Amino acid sequence: MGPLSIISEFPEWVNLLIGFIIGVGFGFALEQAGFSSSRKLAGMFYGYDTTVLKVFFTAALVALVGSQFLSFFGLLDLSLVFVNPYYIGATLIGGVIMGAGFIMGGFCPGTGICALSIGKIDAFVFLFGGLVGAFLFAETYPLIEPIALGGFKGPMKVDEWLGISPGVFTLILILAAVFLFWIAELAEKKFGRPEITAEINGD
Amino acid sequence: MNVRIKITVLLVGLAILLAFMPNPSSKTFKLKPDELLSKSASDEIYFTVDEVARFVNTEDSTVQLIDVRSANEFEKCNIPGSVNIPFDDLLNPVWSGYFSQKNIRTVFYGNSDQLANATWTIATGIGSENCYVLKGGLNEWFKTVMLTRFEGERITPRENALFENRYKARDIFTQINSLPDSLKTRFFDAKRLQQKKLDGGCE
Amino acid sequence: MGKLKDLKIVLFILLIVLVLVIAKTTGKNRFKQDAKNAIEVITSNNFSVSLTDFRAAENQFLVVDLSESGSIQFDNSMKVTFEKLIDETLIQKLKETEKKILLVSEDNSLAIKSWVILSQLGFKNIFVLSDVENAEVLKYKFQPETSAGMESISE
Repeated sequence: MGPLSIISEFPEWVNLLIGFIIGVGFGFALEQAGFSSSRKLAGMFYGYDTTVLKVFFTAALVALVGSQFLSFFGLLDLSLVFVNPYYIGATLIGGVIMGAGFIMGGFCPGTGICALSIGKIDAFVFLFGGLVGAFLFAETYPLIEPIALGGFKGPMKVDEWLGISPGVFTLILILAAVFLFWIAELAEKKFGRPEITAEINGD
Repeated sequence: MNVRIKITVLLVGLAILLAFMPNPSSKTFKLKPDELLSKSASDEIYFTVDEVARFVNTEDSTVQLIDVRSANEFEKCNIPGSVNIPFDDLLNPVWSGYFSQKNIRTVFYGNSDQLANATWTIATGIGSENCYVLKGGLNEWFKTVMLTRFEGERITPRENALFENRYKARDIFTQINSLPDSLKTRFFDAKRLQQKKLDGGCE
Repeated sequence: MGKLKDLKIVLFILLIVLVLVIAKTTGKNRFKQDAKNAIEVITSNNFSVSLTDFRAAENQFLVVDLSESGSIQFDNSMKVTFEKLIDETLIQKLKETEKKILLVSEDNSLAIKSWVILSQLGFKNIFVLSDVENAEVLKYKFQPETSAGMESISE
């Protein structure tokens, strides 16, 4: 299973099974957080529901802390963990497109699959649109290649760029997260809308 | 005191620990001292020049020769099929692919024993497996493979095989190293391309 | 005090992690150095001492004799088998000495391997006796065959 040294000797099928179980866990976590509801997801942008921020940021922080401790105890080889290469232009443009799509559609790809699994039709249309977009990207790639590959900076890490140790960076990030969550709660109070479930139940 | 606060305190506490933990450079030895010592003490890490000559003659693709001398010395002459990784560039990430090959035996050589043994110890220390040293280095190669002649009246079959092995390696060595530089690089590139095609996979 | 009681579990976990971290960082005889450092010292040739230099300042050195056959003669040398290199008693002696440590073996391979191991354990004043007989210099000149044909060698 990837760079985890204690279990990297497992046969292929065990690795796939572990991947499957992790996937089940992820889907379960998303669904129980309510992310199949596009209203909850769009609420992130309108300010009335900041669950998305808290869930995903916390998940990232747990991964950050966990991976560093595992690496320290020699259980995880961080040099084998894939770091996305950074292409400045492509990242910016892709971010804009994804942000616009997120708020218009009320889903992002992962949560879209979640919603699809509970039978929502808009999720199905959303995902279909996503596939069409990917297909168009592949077909027009020769034209957009220079943009897609422009500004290549390699797999950059923020702590390396800032010149601080990963541990210090983690601490700063966690403190920033606590602060952001507090602001998010303030925003929820300010932009609040009636609770969705209350609406549905007709309370 | 709700769960959120507990989790926050836990994460902040762990992050504070991380901020103070020493940041292990990925280039410290992964092996424990006694492990490295017992591996170093074994005689099985050495290949004789005759064994390496046979690898060269049979173009054994399970063996990778690595010349740890400077680029200048490598250009003047080298054992055909070897890759030049100058000792002072050893830890450059571009070479890391050569150090983690599970099915390939990596054989280091220098002019004599010193540099190759140092390389072996460092490579094994940082976790590479299947590393070996050419005993005696190029000095021994010249002395034995290139310059010995059979002196005597009757030759036994085993000696015959031995000397045939050496003569063949001698020819290959002379031919390849006598190529003008442009052809040499083409030969090596062709070989590398061929091996890549056999290995498959991405860059 | 009420707040601390509630955080019992959290504090317990933090304590365990702290203990594990401390145990890992202070284990004795661990490789602490950056391998880059060893490479730099070797490349700048600051790790070997010639025989003449040694003889000139013999009493500044603590000789660790790793040779197996005893073919090299030194007065006042510590005879050590390579397998026992990191034994507690030896490491203790090496840490306590103020002299420079000189590692010696036949054909230098044991000496250089010991050098790398000891330097990565943190020793800075270690050297290898440079072996003129076996120096890292190519003793032969390759004569290219100028009549080497241009027939295809490539596959």
